[in-house]
Amino acid sequence: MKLLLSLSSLLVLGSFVTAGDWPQFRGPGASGIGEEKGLPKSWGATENVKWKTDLPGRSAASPVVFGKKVFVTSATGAKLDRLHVLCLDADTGKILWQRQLTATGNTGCHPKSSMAAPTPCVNADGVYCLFATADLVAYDLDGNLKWYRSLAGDYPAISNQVGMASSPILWKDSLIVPMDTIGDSFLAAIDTKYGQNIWKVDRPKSINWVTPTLRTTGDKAEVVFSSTKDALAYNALDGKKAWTMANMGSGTPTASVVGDQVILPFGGGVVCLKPEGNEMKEVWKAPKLASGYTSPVAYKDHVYGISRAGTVTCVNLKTGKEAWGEAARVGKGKGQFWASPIANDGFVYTFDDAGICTVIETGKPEGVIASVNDLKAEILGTPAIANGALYIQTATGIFCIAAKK
Amino acid sequence: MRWLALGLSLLLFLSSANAADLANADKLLASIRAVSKEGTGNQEAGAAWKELVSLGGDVLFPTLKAFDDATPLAANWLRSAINAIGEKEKAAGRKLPADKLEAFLKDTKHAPGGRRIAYEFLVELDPKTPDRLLPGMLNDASFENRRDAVAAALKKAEKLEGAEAKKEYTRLFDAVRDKGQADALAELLKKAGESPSLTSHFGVLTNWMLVGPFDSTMGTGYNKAYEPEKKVDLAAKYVGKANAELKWIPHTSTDPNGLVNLNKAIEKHKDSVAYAFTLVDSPKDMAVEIRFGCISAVKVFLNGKELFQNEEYHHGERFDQYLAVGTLKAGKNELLVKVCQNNQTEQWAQNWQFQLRLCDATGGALPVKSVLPAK
Repeated sequence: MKLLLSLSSLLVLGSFVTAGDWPQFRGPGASGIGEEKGLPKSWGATENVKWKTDLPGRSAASPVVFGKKVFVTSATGAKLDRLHVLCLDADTGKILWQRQLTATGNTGCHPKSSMAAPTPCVNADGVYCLFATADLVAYDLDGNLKWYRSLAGDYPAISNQVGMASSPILWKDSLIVPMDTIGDSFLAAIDTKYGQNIWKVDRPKSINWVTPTLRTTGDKAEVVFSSTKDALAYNALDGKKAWTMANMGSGTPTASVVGDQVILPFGGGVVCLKPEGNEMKEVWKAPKLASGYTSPVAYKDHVYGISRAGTVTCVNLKTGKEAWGEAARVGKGKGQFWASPIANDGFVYTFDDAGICTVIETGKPEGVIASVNDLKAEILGTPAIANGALYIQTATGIFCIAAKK
Repeated sequence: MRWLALGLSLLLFLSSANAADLANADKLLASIRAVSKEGTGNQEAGAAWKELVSLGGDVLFPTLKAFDDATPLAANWLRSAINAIGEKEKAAGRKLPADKLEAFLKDTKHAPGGRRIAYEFLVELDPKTPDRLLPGMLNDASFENRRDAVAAALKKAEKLEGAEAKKEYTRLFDAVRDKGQADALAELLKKAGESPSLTSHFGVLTNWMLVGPFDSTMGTGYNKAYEPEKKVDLAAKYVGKANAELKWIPHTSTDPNGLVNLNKAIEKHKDSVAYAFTLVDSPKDMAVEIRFGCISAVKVFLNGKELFQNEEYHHGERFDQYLAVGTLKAGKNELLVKVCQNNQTEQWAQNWQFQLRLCDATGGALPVKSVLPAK
């Protein structure tokens, strides 16, 4: 039943996204869940590496995958103002095409980040890339430019000196663009064909790094998008406010949708919401499910969250009660956790910025570490799962991890 | 004979096709250059882009040339087109014409962005290009070309010693525009016994008149135009925060980057506004880039006209963090900076400060004089 729900959501999400693609930040519907079989149980800097491709510069973004194409972004230059979009062959890592832009917005950011921090999104009609400079570009899958917008040119007060990282998402023919900044601050739907505004609504003048999530019901969809203060939902069709959950905002993690329920990070924990009439009601609250910079993943019967330092907490999806919590720090505890956990085929994968991926077996009464894999490279973006492989984008390259056949 | 006639006809056909392509390219490029705010013109430009790229290598140079009068918005449409054309030519096994690219690069009438692309194509065609061309690009209008030229020359200079090294470092310091490279060169020159001034090299302003604090409870001062914003009168007295009497005070920054630390120069205040004022004497009317950094909310006014504002607090500060473009008039020009401090209590949110410089489009100091305003 859950699979059916998930498939029906996918059909509504993107015009031609099919199961197996990883079309946006945290994959299909921002779920963080892959549907692949036979991913390798262990890997390293050379073990089970099908291919590795260097990127031109630094990136904190995640890769997206459509069919046999992988799309990544990167930024270079002494002023961080050279912006790159690359399309790679998913089987070989060969660069199929590469395009560049020059930043038209401010390039200020935290040293950990990059102007390539937002994750692209993709469907059969194109790949849509937003950069931290508010440069927004759409190419078709062969690299032909559909359109380009300088949002910093359009709305000059856009400003976030820590560096923007919220990612755009697709709904039908709309590209939903989050732009919570200290100056011009808005959420917009931009038409994917010609790049013009369909609607644009003001947002609080405050920075955040949240990526919106779609909650679809039949042919309609809500854009769930938190500010640091409140959680809000907007009708995807016209941008009108659908509901507000006051004081349930968060600055970084992204919500997940399971059926008609929203798994919403807020403050230091997570709340589960379900619709009742035109409102959302709290089902449960799990204040200890800390997620820090990462977004929790709702997988099978549980929700898994990982703190900045690497403490994994697991709660029951139906009740919010801790299934096993305050678990030992995962991995070797070398780095901080910026990449969100992802799940596939009975396992949850966590990644720290020292390059260590700790794989946790699900369905056990306690957290059981299945393997610890050291890629020896800085991982900031959330990896993608597609084509029987893990695509792990590091700060300066991308690895395809797949079992040898 | 028949083959010769056929060959000539084909040549004629190709040449006329090429001329038609070029004429068409101008129209297509005009469509692309016409893009403007909020996606206006995208539909026409998207179709033009595809047609332009389909014309292949023949339109490479018209497209590069189109950078010359393109807006930053249109330039990114052109950049993607050039990427696509370059890839298409490479896939077809056709080499780009190195001689024409080099001529384009050397023609400094062309925009720095287009010339940089030409340079990068040349490097791709021949990895030895930097050795041959960079020595001639120390004063290039392209920041990236110049930076590469300085980096290459710096590497060569490592082998020099004594007076020769000092002479070369001095030459490079005069040319440098990248802050990191300039800092490194300044250190090398200091070790060689010289006293390079990063302050004058970058056109950093150090002499200011300051006044504050004015009230900005809950950030209200940011949008409130206090008297100095309406008219600067250095002899005036104002009512400041908590009804304190405020007067303009002179301040000279001794920091190489011209940092004005308002905690020290005025006092540590929260919920406050301060103004910094200076006069700049320009020998003629000239374009100016005002490049500055500020850790909190800031506005910049040139000759009474607001050129920049950003209401962001404690998200970092760096050299050349912000840019405002304006025009200096011949004679004295009034420059006013408004700095706001909020009420955050975190230890890292206690500073209010700024630094500012005036430069040309390359980042080089302008021939202007900072003059301490007479009271």
